[in-house]
Amino acid sequence: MYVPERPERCDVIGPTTPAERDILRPQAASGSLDPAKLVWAFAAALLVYLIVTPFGYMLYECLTDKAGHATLANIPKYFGMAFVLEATVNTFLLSGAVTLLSVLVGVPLAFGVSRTDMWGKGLVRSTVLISIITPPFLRAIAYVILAGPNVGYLNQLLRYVLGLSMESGPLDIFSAWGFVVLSIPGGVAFVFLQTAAAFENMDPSLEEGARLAGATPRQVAFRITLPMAKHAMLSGALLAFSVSLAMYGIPHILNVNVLTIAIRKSLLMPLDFKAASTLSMVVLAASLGTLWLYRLSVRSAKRFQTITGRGFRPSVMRLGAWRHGFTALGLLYGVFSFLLPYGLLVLVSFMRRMGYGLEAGNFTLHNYVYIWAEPLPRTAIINSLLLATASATLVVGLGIVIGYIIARTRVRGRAVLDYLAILPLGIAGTALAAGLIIVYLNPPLSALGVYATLWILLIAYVTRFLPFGVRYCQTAFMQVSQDLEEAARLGGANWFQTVRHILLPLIKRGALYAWIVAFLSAFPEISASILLRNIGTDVVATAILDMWDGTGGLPAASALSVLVFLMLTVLVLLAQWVTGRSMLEQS
Amino acid sequence: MTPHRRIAFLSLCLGLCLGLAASAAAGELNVYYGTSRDLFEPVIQAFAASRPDIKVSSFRAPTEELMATIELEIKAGKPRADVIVITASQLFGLQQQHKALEPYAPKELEKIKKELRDPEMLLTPTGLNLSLIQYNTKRITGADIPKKFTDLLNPKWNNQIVMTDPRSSSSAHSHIWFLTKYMVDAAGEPPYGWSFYKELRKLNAKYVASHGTVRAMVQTGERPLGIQMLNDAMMSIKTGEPASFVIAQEGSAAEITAASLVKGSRNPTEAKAFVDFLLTEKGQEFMVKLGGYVPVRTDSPFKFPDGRGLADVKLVPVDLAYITPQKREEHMQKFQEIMR
Repeated sequence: MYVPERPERCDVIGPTTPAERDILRPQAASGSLDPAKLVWAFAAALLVYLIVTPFGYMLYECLTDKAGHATLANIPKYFGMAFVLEATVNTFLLSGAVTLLSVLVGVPLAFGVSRTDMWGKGLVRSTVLISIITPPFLRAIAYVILAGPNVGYLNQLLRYVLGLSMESGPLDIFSAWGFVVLSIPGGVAFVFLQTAAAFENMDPSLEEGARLAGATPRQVAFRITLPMAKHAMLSGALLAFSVSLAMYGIPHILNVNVLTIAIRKSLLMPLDFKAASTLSMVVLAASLGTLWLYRLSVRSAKRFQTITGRGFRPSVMRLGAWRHGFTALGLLYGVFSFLLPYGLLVLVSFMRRMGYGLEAGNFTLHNYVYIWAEPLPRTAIINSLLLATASATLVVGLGIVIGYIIARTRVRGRAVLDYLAILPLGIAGTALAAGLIIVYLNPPLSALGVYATLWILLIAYVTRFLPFGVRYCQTAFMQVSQDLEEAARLGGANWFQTVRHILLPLIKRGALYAWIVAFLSAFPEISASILLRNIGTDVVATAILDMWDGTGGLPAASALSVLVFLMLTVLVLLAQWVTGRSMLEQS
Repeated sequence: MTPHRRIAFLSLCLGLCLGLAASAAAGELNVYYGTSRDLFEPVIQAFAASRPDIKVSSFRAPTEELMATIELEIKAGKPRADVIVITASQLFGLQQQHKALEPYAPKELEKIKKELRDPEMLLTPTGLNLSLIQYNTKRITGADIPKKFTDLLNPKWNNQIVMTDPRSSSSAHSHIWFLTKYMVDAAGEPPYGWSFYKELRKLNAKYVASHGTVRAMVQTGERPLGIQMLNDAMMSIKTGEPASFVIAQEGSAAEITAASLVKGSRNPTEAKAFVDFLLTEKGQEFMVKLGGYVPVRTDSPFKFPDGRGLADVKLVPVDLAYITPQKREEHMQKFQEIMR
């Protein structure tokens, strides 16, 4: 029985000797100034600048004492504190659990949605979108109302249905369990977006070959399809892990002691930037370690080249009875990550007073009138729109160039770019924000005058979400066989023409995903914005928080989030029209 | 992309760039404040309406984030705030650490209650926020309503109490000061002092990041009893939520909210005018009606929602000199040890 194990068996077109390949590489054009190199140099310099300005400063703070002398004493000093130690342990255990569960849920869902005839694909896609759009603290608040141990609706229902006599529980959202459950929707979304793109871009000839050779659909899935998506899965897991390392909104509401909370506390009560920097460096080290493991496991990039010169169109698998399993998983994800919490927020947005819950006469349209009449939501929405659009575009632009350098060239130091580009994921937004404020308030960068303007928010957003651009574009490039590019070069196309006509169209889907993820992450950004906002630069998440903290309370905050969600949906539809492509849909 | 779409896309990008470029703005009076936006913004608007010659800008953030912003600005030598309105203990800390404040004797100084005045004139008191017990009126009624802080220690309140974490909330230190210092001096430990918190721990009292969260949990009944501050409790009443409050018989820590001028600010004249406005009868009326504060003027009328006046309860101004940064650190450590 012939089962091709590795995609490189398909690599039959193009140059075969290393010398031939070298001729084709853009950097081989020595002597004259290569415009491609300029683009790379500029993007790499920008990346280094964005990362090194705040992080270099934090590293300095971590490794010096108050007088500015070099020391390592900060690390034992702060990690000797009981609550920091506990926070560190909690952070790694919880992030690990979140990542594992996200992969276990996200990969089957991505496979199901992109390659099978399961039902409820629309629900899964919408849930993925929503999970990224929703500021995590809103999901946390919704779940406090749903699963609060004393009067949470789910608990009341469970006690009633099961006939339990206890006054509290059985569910308690204020626990490590709560943190994991609330973080999973986001983790699954990151895994899903990475792997779904891989499944959709897969050359089906290998699968077809296996089928022709007599393999069952299950054998094909486990021996061909999943191994080919390994790179994307690991990449998704890496994102999920790093994002939950830096998770802030959920532990803040649930009061779970993790490092981001410890960082915020050391930063704000009272301001101790050394403590915050030292704790941040540990989270960063963890992110770097994870990336290192990831790079080890995908060293042979060619194994993941699934887009080759052959024509392809991924086939849809008929699952038979398995279909219901996938559908049930999708439903579970959709109900707990989207329908329940969002249904509740919509309900709350029509409530007059939280304390009267579902009682008759407690429903009103007033909250929507209120947010319409207030100037704050308008300013915030405009600011968030500007910032999310600009940062997503910059993130993807940089991501394409950096992703290309990392995945397709032999430029020395490209691994450094990869490590630098992952750093922002592992850092609490609050710490990044404090670092940026210090850097941009003091000479020489104070000359730029970006402090207290939208620009500093833009810098923070691009820095925070750059990893998405680099990761998604890199994954996309790794899937495109080098032969296509080389064929174009042999055919006389210059580097720019090759990129424009061959590479960009092929990675368009990956780049689009990256743009959407960056846009949708930037729109409700809270942890950096809460420090960086100033007069007139409120953003959506800070406005929602202020509403929640004011007389409008949760009903007004919910109304604003429902409005924001509707607006984002319209925007996504509009973006589909502009790009002429359907987002998060199969081709 | 078709040409139309390309043009639409490019013009959108251009528009965004221009929008970003135009966003930088500067005002003639910058007010930084820490309370809820809709409690204080109307006060600022009222001032702006009375002084159309001044372009007033305001910046609101939760107290703890606001303090970080202010400290970072001061450390860089670029304070943007002309006036800061925040709890006195935080202002006191700013002065101790950075010598950041400018003294000012407001016009109606002599109208302020004597015991609240700052001898150095760095802080102008603008309102009092009180430490109290908030409860859900649907879940707790009649004789069950606690009258004293020690009533919270009744075993029937197992899993029912919520309070703030001193690592996240600056006002939490006012409660802690009252219960572990003032009451220990007055009535001894136990029942007061840290043993009070040890008892709360036995009842699984929950601690959360802010008094806003305490309010939300009391209102929904998830935790029907909360150790709360007056302006959050007043907000529940104003919005008609099923939550009321009692000033404990032991008394109440009265946290002073104050306004201070920032040293080296660009608009000191306007800042002074704003501080003066806050102390006028009209300004104090705003602080009471909108802000849910107790007035600082001797002649301002004040009644609690249950009809009682200030003479009917015992208010103890928080000892500013006691809650130093070191003391805060001590509170946090002790609280953490007991509660974890």
